[in-house]
Amino acid sequence: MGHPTEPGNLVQGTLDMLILKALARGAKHGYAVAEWIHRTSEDVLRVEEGALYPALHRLELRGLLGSEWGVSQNNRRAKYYSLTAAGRRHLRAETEQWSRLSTAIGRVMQTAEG
Amino acid sequence: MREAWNTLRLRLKALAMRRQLDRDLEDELAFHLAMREASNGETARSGFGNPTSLKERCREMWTFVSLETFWQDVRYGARMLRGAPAFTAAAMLTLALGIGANTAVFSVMNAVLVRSLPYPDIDGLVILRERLPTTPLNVAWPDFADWREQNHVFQQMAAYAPDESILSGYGDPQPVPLAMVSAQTFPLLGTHAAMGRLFTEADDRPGAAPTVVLSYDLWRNQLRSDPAIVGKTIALDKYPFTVIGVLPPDFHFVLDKVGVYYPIGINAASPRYMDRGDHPGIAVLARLRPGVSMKDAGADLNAIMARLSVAYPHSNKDETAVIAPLYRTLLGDLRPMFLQLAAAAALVLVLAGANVANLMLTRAIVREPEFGVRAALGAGRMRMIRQLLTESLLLSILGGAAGVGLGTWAVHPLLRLAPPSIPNLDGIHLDSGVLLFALAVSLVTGLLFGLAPSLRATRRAASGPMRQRLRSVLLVAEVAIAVVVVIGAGLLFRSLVRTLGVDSGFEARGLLALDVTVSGPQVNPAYEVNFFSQALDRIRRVPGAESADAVMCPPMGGIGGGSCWTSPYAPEDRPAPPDSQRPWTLINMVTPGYFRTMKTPLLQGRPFTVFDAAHAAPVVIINQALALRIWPGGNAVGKHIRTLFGSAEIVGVTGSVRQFGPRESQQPELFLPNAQAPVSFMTVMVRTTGDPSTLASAVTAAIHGVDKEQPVLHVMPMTDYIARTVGRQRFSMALYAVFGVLSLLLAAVGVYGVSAYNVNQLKHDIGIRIAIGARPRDVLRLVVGGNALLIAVGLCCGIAGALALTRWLASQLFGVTARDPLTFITVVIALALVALIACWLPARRSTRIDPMAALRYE
Repeated sequence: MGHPTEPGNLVQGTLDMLILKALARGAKHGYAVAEWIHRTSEDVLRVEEGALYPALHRLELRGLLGSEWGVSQNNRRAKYYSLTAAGRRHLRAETEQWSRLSTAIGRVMQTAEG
Repeated sequence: MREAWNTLRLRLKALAMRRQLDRDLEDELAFHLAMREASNGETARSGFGNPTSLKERCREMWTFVSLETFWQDVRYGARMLRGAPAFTAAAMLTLALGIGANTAVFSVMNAVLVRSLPYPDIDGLVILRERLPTTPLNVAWPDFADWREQNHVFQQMAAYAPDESILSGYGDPQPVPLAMVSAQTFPLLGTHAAMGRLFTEADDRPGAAPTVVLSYDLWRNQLRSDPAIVGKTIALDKYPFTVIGVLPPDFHFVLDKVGVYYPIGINAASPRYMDRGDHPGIAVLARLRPGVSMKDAGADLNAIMARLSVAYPHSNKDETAVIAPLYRTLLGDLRPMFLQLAAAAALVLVLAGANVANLMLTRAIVREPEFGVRAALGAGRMRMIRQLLTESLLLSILGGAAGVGLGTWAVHPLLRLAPPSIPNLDGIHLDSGVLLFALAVSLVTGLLFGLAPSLRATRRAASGPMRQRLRSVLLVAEVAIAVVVVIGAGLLFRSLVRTLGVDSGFEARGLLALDVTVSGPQVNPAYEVNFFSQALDRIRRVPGAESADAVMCPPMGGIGGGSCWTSPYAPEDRPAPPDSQRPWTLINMVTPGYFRTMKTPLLQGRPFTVFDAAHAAPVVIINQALALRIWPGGNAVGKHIRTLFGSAEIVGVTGSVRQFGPRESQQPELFLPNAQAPVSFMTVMVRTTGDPSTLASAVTAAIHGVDKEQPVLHVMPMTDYIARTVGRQRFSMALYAVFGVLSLLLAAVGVYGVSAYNVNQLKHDIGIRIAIGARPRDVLRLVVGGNALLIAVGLCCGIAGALALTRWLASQLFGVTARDPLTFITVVIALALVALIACWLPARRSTRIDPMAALRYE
């Protein structure tokens, strides 16, 4: 997997899954979500704002995320997103499916060539 | 599903707080930029992409794009309508008239046809009657008892009979419509007590204590909502009755306006109730068992009737049972009458819609540059059609709102014309049903009549001729519809005139009628005769009263229920047939001067006199219809005739009176002097020299001078009595007249509009013609000619339509056929004139066109 700098490269469902995962341990604002993904992927994945915010709003509209306005560490008004019960269920299902899929792909890719 | 709901909820919230949404998006992105700047020192915007488009994308997610566009269209449309106030006012008024007419008719239909029958499973409810081969009969109580025991087809059966009694002890004594009902009546109709309880079998048998159940209205109005009424005693005809319960406010009995209910079974042991032949008569309600058809039920019932006619040939020979759905019995010809009215109202609406469509076509010409610019700026055709449709919907909803106002306002003067025989007219009000109806009608109208013009207006190649064709179709339709509606109104008008012109057999003008019922413990036959004779003497002394007499069953059936008796008869100059084979005649009791007071001609013999008293030789007078039936040779006087009242000598023959209203045929009738057959209720007829209504209070006072406890009811001129019998016809005619005038006006406006438009279009053409010497007559021919042809086509279509449609009116017509040539010709000529004038007015202007101005204008 290369650098997915273009939002289109990161399949939409995958971005949604990453966002849900980023929020699994508690509420975060949009910037923190992008940072967490960037850091956790050891700088491999960088989420563009142009994809991040539409995705956050889409998930919120689907009822997978809740949101709340709070104050950030540097004392600014920020919108914090958190998982709803539905979001948590969705994340569990996605994780399961992802690991099945990546294992399968891994097996295919590990076969000897020729 | 839940996800979709969640989305909708959030979006609606965002819609409600649009500004908040914008600010939040702004803040969220600003925060992000600030964080980025703080963490790695990048200049704020680099690598961020286009923040505006990002915001727009987020924003779109939250909002309903199409709804926003719609809102835009609505605001734009509203601006357009405000900008053309004359157009808007004309279109709105037209639509308001059309929608108002429909709303008014619907609200009446809703109350009368739907809500007046609030019984569960109405289709299973039936009314049972008896009949002889030629005469319908009331049911005899013992027959009812046998039906109830022996039938296999009914779940429940109940008997009822109407009555009237005087409630005293609460203000002035007042008459209260009463219904005697059996205990099963209320469960059968699916109602429960609002207070107390309803009748049980124990209340409904001979010897039970006298109890009553009250209607909600009587309890609220006459008894002033007495909260402790249950268990109290009220006085009816001066006898005490215990109130056991009050019915709920929404209960309507099958008889109208009943205030008090009394268990009919208490009478069951009385000799009159036990008599199968001569009985007071009851009506029977029943609920069919599930799965039993009307036909099966009739067959089962008639099997019982066949056994009864063998067991009791004296009373039951040839009698059969008739079964009819309750709703048909209650609504009778009201359903077709209202459906016809609704159809007429719908036609008016179509006419109004056609007018508005025409107006919109004209508007489209004015707006051509506007559409040109919008098309050039890239607006698609669908977008422009949507815009135009939004405008027409906006118009129709505004028109609909005005129409609802107009309709609810107009219903009340119309209802004053309505006869009391139409049930639940008090139940008419603006409710959600009526509002929904008006909204639906408005939307459909707006769509239908906005669609064609908007399609035409936005067609790039929308050329004159194409619009012209649509206009022509609309014009023809308008004229045709107006012809149909006005012919309908005309036929009903002619029927009414014919009805009122019928010779009713007496002189109604100058006659005051009032009902008097004597009641109380002191009343006996001698008291009754004496009371009426004293009262009449006093009335005759009232200034302005020429003569006064009394009759038991007044012409036109009277208002207080119209008690007319019948009896089998047998002339004694020939062998009499067995009882049940005897023909029937109406029986009536009159005071001696009755025929003179009524100005009913005495054709043979003598009138009754004061000497035809209780113990004198029994005498009768028969009407011509009866005389001709028995003695076609014309020598009835001096013969003897036997009725239920015994044998009597015929002393006179009078002209026939239409006893049940002008549309009913003259029936055989036999009169007895009331001194020889006293009754407790009579209608007093006062022949007056001036306006009868001015004598009302003096006459009432004269009667109260004899006994002030006896109530005087329904005081009104006889002409009003007659007007009431034609109430339905008048009501229906009045509505048609309104619709007729509306459609005439709308059609005239429509023709005027088209003609004015033509003149405008042809201005240039006319200018040239005048310049080269055309005379005004030639110009008029040019302008009017085409339209006159269209009007002629419209008139022909209208005649064809009317020929096809007026037969639905046949049941309401009297004395004219549904294809009455006089009505057709008059209406067509009148409409042709109106249309031509509407066409000619704008055309006249064209002859005054200044050729130079018209040409320079180009």
